[in-house]
Amino acid sequence: MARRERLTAVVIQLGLAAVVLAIWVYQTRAGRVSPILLPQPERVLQEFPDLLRDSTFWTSLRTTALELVGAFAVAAVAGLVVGVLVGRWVPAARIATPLLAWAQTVPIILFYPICILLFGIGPMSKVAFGGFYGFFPIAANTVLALSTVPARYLTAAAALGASRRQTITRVLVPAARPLILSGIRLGAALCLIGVLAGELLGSTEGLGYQIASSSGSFRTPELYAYIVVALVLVAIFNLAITRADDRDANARV
Amino acid sequence: MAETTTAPALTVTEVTMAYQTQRGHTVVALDRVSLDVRRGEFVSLIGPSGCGKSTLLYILGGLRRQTSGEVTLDGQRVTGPTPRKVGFVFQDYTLFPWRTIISNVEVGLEFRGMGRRERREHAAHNLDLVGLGAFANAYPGELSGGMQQRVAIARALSMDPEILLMDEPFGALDEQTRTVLGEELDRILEKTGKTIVFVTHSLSEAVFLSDRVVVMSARPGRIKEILTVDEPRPRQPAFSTSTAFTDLRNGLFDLLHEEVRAATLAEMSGAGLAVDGGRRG
Repeated sequence: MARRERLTAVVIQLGLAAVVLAIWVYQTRAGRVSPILLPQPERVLQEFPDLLRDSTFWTSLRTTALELVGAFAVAAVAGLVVGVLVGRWVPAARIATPLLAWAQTVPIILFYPICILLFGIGPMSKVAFGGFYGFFPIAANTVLALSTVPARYLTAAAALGASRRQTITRVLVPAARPLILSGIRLGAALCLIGVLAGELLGSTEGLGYQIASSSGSFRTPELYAYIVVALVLVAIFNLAITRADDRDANARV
Repeated sequence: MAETTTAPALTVTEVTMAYQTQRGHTVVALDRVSLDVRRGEFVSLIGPSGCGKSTLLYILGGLRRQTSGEVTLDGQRVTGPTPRKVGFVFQDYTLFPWRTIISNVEVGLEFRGMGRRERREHAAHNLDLVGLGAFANAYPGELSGGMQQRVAIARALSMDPEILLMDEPFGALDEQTRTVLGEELDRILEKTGKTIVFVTHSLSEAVFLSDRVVVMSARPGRIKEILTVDEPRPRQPAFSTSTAFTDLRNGLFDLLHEEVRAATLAEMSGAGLAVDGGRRG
């Protein structure tokens, strides 16, 4: 993409954000909307100094971040292990592929109460649920990636004298890598949804819990401040995952 | 290529390849094929589609196992890939898209366990030989089809094999590119003195490049006839417009035409029966 076009796109995106902010300011200033539903932007901003001094905030942030990392680790490890085991075995891939695809259309949130029963109300249930949520796209993409590596690459590797191990590490893995990485990216996004939704629905700590509790007690500016913090966390997490993905994409054309 | 000793580089004895289709029919792809390829010789395999010429090439390289018969390479039975002796150039683009051109050329040496600096030297030399030294750090996706096949040739050459097996390497390219690459291949081979077995669909390509052209029959694949091309090397572009060339090409056309006709008629009658059966039912 040309530099100029990219710049134009960014300017338009910032413009859209400015429009949303302007509507927010206008609506709250004129008193059209109750401050309990939508506080003025500067009221939300004023929350931050207090928030940053509050130890509850830091514990919540830490809890959610740790849950997120845990959930992602569970999803990635389980997804990759299952994906590799199934993907390299043709009959298993044939059986598992439609099941994994189907699992991705199921509202997995339905299973959250079971997670709470199994792992309690604390962080463990969020790790388990987020991990479960993120597992499916990672496993499905890994199966797909490994079972669709073009046979001609493997034939060429054999003709060039690759050992079994070299065939796996130097041909199979790099050939399957882009698709596996996009599965991981998708899975990471779902881990995030899983963890935050889990906290919102039933928990005693974490950003999601703070959001739910400030909403329940009509501390609206705090509610919005926590949402902003959660969005920043999401942005950082997504950026980290995308970065790893891009670095790989740049190595190929 | 200039000198050929009497000991064959490659001996094919009564090789038969049969396999079962999913419906349980037995298909004989190759029927007792025997052939000697001399050291430094350029042999083309030509025949109608499905005559088993590619299958034969894969068997020669140890990438596929024949049902019966024997292939020997320097007196040794071929039972699997022998990357030190046999180089392959495939029809499809088989360069690894995640590796740069130079690292594609050196990949076989990497598999062999050669040190980084040494294999890079070998690869650079062979990449220069095919005229693509300037593209060492590009990725395959940035190169045209013809360039990619030249890289594939460099990749095979960098293993320094005695024999190169080429499966319609220029099959996917347009006529002009194909002609130029053919001339270039001849020049490269002149320098390296490799023994070549070359599968092609193109009559002109076969006559232009080969010492001998092996004409195969429609399924089951058998050797129908072997034509000898007596023309000094390296072959000059003018050869392709000479009477000798045209005569050889026409002779080859006649031989092949019968076979292609037979193969096509067999396919059509098969299809026709199915249609008739459907109508009556």
